[in-house]
Amino acid sequence: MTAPITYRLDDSSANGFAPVLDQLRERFDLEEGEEQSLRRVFLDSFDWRLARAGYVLEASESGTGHRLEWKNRDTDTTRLTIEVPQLPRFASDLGHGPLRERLARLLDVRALVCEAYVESRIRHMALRNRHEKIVARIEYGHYLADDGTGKSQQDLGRWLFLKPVRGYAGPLERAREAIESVAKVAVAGEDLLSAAVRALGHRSMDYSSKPDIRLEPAMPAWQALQHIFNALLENIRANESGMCADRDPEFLHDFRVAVRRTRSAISDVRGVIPKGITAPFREEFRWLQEITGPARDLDVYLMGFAGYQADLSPQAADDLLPFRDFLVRTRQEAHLNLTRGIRSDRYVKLVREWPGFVATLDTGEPGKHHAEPIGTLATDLIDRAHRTVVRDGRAIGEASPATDLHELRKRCKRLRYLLEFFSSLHPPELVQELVRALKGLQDNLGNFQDYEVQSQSLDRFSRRMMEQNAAPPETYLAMGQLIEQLEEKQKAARSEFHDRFAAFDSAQTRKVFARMVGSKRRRKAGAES
Amino acid sequence: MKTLAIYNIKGGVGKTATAVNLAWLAARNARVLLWDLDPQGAATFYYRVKPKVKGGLDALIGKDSEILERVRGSDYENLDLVPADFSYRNMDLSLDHRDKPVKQLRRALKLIRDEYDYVFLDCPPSISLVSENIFHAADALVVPLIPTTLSVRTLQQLLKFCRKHDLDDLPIHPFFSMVDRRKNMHNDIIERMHNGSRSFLATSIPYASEVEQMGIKRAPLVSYMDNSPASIAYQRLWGEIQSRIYPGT
Repeated sequence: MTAPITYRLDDSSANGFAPVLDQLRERFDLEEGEEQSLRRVFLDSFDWRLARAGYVLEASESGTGHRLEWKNRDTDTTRLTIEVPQLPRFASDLGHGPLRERLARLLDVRALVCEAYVESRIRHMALRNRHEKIVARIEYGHYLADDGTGKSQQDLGRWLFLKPVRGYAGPLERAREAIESVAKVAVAGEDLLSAAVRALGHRSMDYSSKPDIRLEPAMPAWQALQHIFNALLENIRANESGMCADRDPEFLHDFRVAVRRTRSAISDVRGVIPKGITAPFREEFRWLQEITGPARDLDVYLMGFAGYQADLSPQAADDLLPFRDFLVRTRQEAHLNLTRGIRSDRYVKLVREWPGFVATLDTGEPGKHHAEPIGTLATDLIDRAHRTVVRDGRAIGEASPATDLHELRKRCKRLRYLLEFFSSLHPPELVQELVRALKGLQDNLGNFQDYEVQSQSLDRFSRRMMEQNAAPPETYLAMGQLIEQLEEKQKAARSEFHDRFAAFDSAQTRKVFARMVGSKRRRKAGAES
Repeated sequence: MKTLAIYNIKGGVGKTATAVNLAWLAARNARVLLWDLDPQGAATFYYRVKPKVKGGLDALIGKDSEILERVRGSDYENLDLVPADFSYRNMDLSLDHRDKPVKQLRRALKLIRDEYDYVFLDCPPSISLVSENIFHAADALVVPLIPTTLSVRTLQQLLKFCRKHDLDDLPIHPFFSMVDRRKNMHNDIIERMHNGSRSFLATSIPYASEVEQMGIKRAPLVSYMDNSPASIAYQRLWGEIQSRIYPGT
């Protein structure tokens, strides 16, 4: 199905769409609908999961509530329509059916947010051929965008959409010629959603949890660090309000990831800024990580709760329910603490002073790699981080303590961040292959650590619940079963480690790393020339 | 995608009226294709589409099927049509000459499964290779029956045919159409069949002159007269069919 053709009418056109309609009338029977007011809202997750997958979720007010339309973004064709009493926040707010399934698959735990509101005075018109068959449709009118707060409206101007009817390419072409013969009409070049979002000061798909950091190999290291820090700070700030408003768990998660990456960039992109200068900021970002940690941990337990229940017998799964109530209560407290932290002077000072500091990286006290081209420094750092992972991983034997695996996990994470920070400097297929190889190992080490932390936390939680007299004895028994299972899973993760590490430490992965970093001598020669 | 065949061995039982109205109702919130398989082309006529398929039946079935290029949009959004074509009258012969002759329709529909949520097949009367194709392509048969002894017998013939051809798993949803409540025989047969078989849909479509007038309006009754008794019955029937297709919704 071909997409509708979108036109904009020049603001200076005094007669509005009249000349276009005159042209169309010469070729078709026009069946004109009544003028109507329509207010619609475009819904998506904060990170544009629906748009990235090629869909648009549009809601308009209907008699009893809202009409939700699930559309293909490129063809603007409606795939599903349902009526709902109120706008859904999560996929699970909808009744069982195809729309809920599709949304759940794309959104996962993310909430829907209103990306833009569009208010319009429009008319629909059908173009009929001589057999009275509709062969194309148009919608035209005046459109305004707002953000739903009622503060201000942005004028999007006058638009016309020529919508094809399947199997009638000839008449569509004639309609197109008729419309385009009018001087004041031009093809729009963007869709209504993009125009609305842009008018509201954003860009469609402007947020991603993985910031797009574009670096050039010849860029001095301080400047590259500036780009990295700025992109990460942008993500920290972008997630702040959603996290405090507790819209969905991903705001907090993405906030923490951006903080962790910032800390990693401060400590692991070494030699660019002297350590002593960054120390106070390092401490502040560590504090941020600390105040947001408990709420995130509890989110993880809550999101995994159904999984815990599935691991138990149906009776024990029911017995576990008071534990969920405890988690919900404890999470509320943790979230309150987090919000206090984010609203504190300490946080305000950090987000004010940090960008100021980053802006003066060029003039501040230089480290020994301050002006080094980032191309060579990045490969050196990646090379070194990779060697460390290989060295430490090979040293882990059957008898090594758990702490060795935890240390290795941290080293892997550093290597991963370096690969991501500097991904624009290397061929994307190399970066992808290395990240994939590393991810297999990271997943294993992550599970090993998570199972340990979870079994310890469950033990701690059950003690606190006992103190609060929060549950009957059966709940503690069910929690005990879970702890045993987590310990078993941790053992299984440990026994898998050697295979996973061997897969990472394979000749193939080493070859890809070698292709990425080259030899040290060659790098040096390249930098000097 | 769910494929529903509106089928009866016998003609003149309200198949096309059912297909045309149910397709329109389904298209209110799903993407729908109506395939007019009856060479008489009544459904095509109601939807104001020219009863012609470029390349005829050969363009629609077989491994080089161009079904999507042959689809025509109706006057309603989300509702498309594969028009009837004169070549359908030789469909049996044409199918018989192909590999796996009973799976041809199914194969063609596979090509469009991502494009539509429901496909309605408006089937020609008879029991033949065409019907066998329809049974293999459909997820369920919706069978309109006039409450007469003869018409009810055709249901038994259909069930027997399905048993014989290993089609026992194909859900069959019979319902009464063109019901005249003034006739005792209609009332008696409906009562007997509803009591005797759980597979019958509870909704019956009343005989109504409005249904016949669809030919003048050239539009499905439910689209322009949603309060008439027949329209209300079609809406109920569609609700009932949906809850059989998706239990729990």
